[in-house]
Amino acid sequence: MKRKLLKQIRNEWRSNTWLAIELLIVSVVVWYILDIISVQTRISHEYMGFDYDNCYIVDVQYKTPDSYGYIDYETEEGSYYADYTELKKRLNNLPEVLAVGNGSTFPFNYNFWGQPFSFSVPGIDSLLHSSGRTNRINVDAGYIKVLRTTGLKGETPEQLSEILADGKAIITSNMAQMLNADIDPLDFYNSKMMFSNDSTTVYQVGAVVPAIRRAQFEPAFHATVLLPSHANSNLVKIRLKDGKESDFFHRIKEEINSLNYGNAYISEVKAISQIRDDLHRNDYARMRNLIICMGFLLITIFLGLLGTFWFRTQQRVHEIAVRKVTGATRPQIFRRLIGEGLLILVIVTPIAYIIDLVIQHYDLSLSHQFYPEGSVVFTIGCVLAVAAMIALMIVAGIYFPARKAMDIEPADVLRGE
Amino acid sequence: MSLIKVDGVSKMYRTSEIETLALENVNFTIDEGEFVSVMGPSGCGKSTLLNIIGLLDRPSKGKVEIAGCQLEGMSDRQLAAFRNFHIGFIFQSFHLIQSLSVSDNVELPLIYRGGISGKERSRRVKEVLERVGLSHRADHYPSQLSGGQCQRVAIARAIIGNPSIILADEPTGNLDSKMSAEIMGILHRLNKDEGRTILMVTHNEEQASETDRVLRFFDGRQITNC
Amino acid sequence: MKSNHFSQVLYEMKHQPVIGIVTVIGTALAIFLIMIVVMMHLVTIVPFSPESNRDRTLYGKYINIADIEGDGSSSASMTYSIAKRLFGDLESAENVSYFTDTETTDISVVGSTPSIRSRKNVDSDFWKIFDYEFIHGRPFSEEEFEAGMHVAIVAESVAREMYNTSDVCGQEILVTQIPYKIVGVVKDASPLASTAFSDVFLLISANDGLNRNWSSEYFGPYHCAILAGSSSDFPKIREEIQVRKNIFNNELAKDNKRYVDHGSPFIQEYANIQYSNGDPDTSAKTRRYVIYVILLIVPAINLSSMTQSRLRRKMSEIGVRRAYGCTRWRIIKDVLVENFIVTIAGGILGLLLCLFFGLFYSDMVFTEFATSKNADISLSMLFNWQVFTIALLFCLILNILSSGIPAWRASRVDPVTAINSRNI
Repeated sequence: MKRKLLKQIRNEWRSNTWLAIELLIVSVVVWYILDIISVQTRISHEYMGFDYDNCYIVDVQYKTPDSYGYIDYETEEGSYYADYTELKKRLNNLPEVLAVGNGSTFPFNYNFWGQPFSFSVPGIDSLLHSSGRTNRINVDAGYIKVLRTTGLKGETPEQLSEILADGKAIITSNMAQMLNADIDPLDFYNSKMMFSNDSTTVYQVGAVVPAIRRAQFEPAFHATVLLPSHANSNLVKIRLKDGKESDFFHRIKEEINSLNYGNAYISEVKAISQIRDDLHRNDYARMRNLIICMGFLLITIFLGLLGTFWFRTQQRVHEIAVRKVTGATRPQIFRRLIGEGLLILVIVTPIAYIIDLVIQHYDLSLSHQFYPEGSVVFTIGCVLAVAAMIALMIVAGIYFPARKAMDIEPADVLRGE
Repeated sequence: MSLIKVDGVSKMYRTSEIETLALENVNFTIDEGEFVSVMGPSGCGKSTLLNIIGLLDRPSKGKVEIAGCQLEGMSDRQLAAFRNFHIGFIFQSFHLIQSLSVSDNVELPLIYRGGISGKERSRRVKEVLERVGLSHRADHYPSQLSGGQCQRVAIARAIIGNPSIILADEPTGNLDSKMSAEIMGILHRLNKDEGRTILMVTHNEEQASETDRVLRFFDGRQITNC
Repeated sequence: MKSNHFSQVLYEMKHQPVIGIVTVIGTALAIFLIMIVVMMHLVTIVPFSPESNRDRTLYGKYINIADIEGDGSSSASMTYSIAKRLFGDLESAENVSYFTDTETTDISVVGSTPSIRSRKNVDSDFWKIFDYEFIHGRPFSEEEFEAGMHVAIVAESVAREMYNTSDVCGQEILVTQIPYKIVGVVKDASPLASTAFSDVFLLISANDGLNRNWSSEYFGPYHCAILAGSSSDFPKIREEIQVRKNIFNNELAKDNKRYVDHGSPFIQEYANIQYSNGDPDTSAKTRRYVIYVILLIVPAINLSSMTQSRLRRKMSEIGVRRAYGCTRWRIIKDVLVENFIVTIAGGILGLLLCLFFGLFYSDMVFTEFATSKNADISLSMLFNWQVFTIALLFCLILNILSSGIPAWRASRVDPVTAINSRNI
C-alpha cells in the first residue's frame, strides 16, 4: 500500500514537486517565526524580579520663576527637597496608598547606569571585579516596598526595606556570572562591595534578590545593584492597596491641589502596566505581525492543497471509479488522498529540519542565541509543531476534494467512458 | 503543378525501450485542386502523414514541399504563419474550444494572422458561417451544438483563412450517416466550386471512392498510388 | 481580442468556481499583506499636510563628535548655535527651521487639573516648512521669536478640551505651570507626521531656550529641517554644508576630535532615525524585501501549480490553436494575459482590503506612530499613484512568477500530442 502511494506520488511528480517546495519554504519560515514567538513568550513569562500590579508612577515637577505661584527660595524660606518630601508624605497619607518609594530609574524602560563594582566575598582572598554589565540603581527604602521584591533567604519587602534603611546594598543573584566566578548567590551575603574606581566608599551586601529585568522581552543579561540613597527623581513610585485601583485616577484628580506643596506639583500619574504597554507597543506589534505572517503562510498552504487536489480528483475520476468498482470503500478513498498530502509533508520535514539546523549553525535563530543549551530539543519540538500545523492545513485543504471523490458514482463515470 | 510534394519521408518514434517506424520512405505528390483520400488500418501512419504535411510534426528523413516552399529550417514563427496561410485542419473530434462561442472559434485563424480589422473579421466570420449554414448559431457555444454542427463550425474555421490545402483527419468518424453525408457534401463543394486541395483520412470506402485518388497505407508503407 | 481574454476567464470561472475563488483569494491575501507592508513604509515618506514638503526637505537631527585617535565618541541632538552653524542660512536652501523633539508634558488652565499632551518648541520659520492649517489666529511672528515671548499655538482638540471652543486666541494656557498666550489654533495633525506632529507649540526662544544645552557646547535639544526649492537642490545644499563641516572639523582637530556626519542631513526616509551615533539603518530595506519575497514566492508556487493543472486540461485546445497558426510566443502571451486578469481581480480586492484596514484599523496597522493619539489617516494619505503603481507592479511580478513557467511549458508542448490529449 505504502509503496503504491509512493508510486502515485511519483506519477504526479511535477505538481507534487511544486507542493513539496512550497511546504519546504513554509516549513522553514514558519519554524523561524515560531522560534521567535516561543522564545519571546518564554522570556516574557520569566520573573521580572518585581511585582508591579497596582503600581503607579507619579510625575512630580517644580514651578519655575515664570510659573504662577512660584516661591523664590532665595528670598523665602523652604527648599525644593522639602517640597518633594512633603508631597511624598502627602501621597503616603492617602488612604488607598500602601507604599511610596523612589529610585534613579523605574520599571519598563531601557535606562542603564553601567557601573563596575569590586567585591570582597568571605572565603575568597582576591577582590572580584564585575564587568560593565552591572546596572546601578539608587533607591530609597520605600522603592522595594512598592515593587515587592523578596530576598533569596525569604526576606519580605519590608525586611529588605529595613536593610536598605540601614545603608546596606542589595544585589541580584546573577552577580556571580558577571564576576565570572563560581559563587553560590547566598555566599554574597555580608560580602563587601565598592566602586571599582573609588574604593573609599564601601557597602555591605545586605541581601541577594532574584535577577531584575528592565523589560518584558529582554532577558536578564545584566546584574543589578540597588544602592541606598535619598533618591529624589521626578518619578515617584506608589503602590495601592489591593482593590483600591479602580477609582484612584478619578480621586487623585480631585485631590491633586491638596497634594501639591510649595513649588512641587503633580504633573502626571501613570500605571506601570501602562508604561509597560507603551514601551512594548512595537514588540507587541512585531509579535502580532509575525503571527499574521504565519497565519497567511498556513492559509496559503490550505488554498494550494485545496486547488491542487480539486484538480487532481477531477483528473482521477476514472481511476477512483475503477478503485470503487474493485471494492475500495469510501473511507479508503478519502484516506488515500489525505495520505498523499501527508506523505509529501513527511518527506519534506526532515529536509526542513536540516535547513533549520543550518540557520541555527549561523546563529540566526533567537532560541540559539538565548537558550543555546536547550536549543536542540527545542528545535525538534518547534519543527514537530510546525509539521503538525501544516498537517492540519493539509487535511483541511484536501478534505473538500476528498469528500467529492468519495461521492463519485462509478457507474456514471464508466458509462461516460 | 504539384502543390504538395512528399519526397522520401520516413518517421520514427523512439522511446527508451522501443523504436517504432510510423512512416517508411513515402513518396507522392498532390496537385492543386485534387481531392485525395488516405486509407489504411489503424496505426498505419495516416495521421502521422497528415501531421507532417500540416507542419505539426517533422519527418525523421526526407522532405515535404508545399506550394514550392522548402519547409526545413523554418522557425516556429515562420511555421505558424505558413500553417495559418496555407493549411486548414479538420479533426475527427472537432476540437472546438469550449470556452469560445461559435463565431469566436471560427475567427481564431484570422486573429492569429493579425493585421485584419475587427470589422473585416466579423464580416468574414458571417460569410463562412453562411456557407456552412450556421449563421443562426454564431453566438452559441460548442456544447450547445450537435456533432454535425460542430464539424461544420470546424470546417468554417478551416476555410476562413482561405487556405489552399485542407487536411481532414476522419472528419465524419464521430458522426452518423446522415450528418456524414452533409459534411462530405460541404467538402466536395469546397473542392469543386472553390478549387481547394483536400487531403482526407477516412475508413469509409464509399467516401474514398468519391474522391479523385486514394492513397493506401499499411504498416507505415504506401502500398498504392493510383 | 481583449474581450476574448475576458470571456475565456469568465468561462473558466463559471466552470471551475472553486479554483477561481481559491486563485482570487490567494492573490488577494498576498497583495493585501504586501500592500500593508508597503503602506507602513510609504506613510513615512509620502508628503501630506502638515508635511507636504517631505520630498524637498532635509533633516539635520544629530551630531556625533568622536576622538580622532581612540574610540571615544558622543552624540546627540544639537545646541541651537551648532545647528545654525552647520545648517543655518544656506544660500541654496529656501528656509531652515529649528525645533525640539515632540515630548509629552502637562498642560492646563488656571485651576484645572493638568492633562498630558504633546508639546514641541519651534521657531517662526517652522510654519513656512510645515503647512499646518490655521483655524484661528496666525503663526509665530519673527518679532515674537526674537523677543522670546510666551506665546503658544495649540491644536484644535486642545482648544476644545481647555475652553470648549476652538477660538481661543488671546486666552492663556499653562504648560508645566508656565502661562503662555495663545496666538493661533491649528487643525490637529496625524501622528504619522512624525516630525511636525504636536498638540501644543511654544517658541524655542522662550525661557532663554536658545541657550539650552546638555552641559556641552555641541549637544542640546535641537533638530532642524532644511527646505530646498526642489530635491534637485540637495547636492548644492550638501556641498555648502560640506564646506562648513570642513571648517568645523579643523577646529575640532585641535582637541583630537572630529565630526562624523553619518550622512546627515537626512532625506525624509531617514527622518525618523532614533539613534544619533550610527549611519541610517539600511537593513530595514533588506528586511522589507525579504518579506516581499516570502509573501510573493509562496502564493506564487501555489498559483503556479494551479495554473499548471488548468493548462493541462486545456492541452488539446492549445494544440488546435497551434495548428491554426498560433505562435509559441502567442501562447505564452495569452496565458499570461488571461492569468493577469485574474491576478488583477485579486489584486484589486487585496488593495481594497488594505485600504480598508489602513483607514479603519489605522492604530493596528501603524502601531509605531500611535502614541497618545490615534493615528488619524485620510484616504488621500494612503491612496495615491505610488500605491497604485506598486500594487500593479506586485501583481505583475506575482503573475509572472505564478504563470511564467506553466505558460512556457505549454508553449513548448508538441502540438500533435497536445491535440490528441484527452481533455478539451
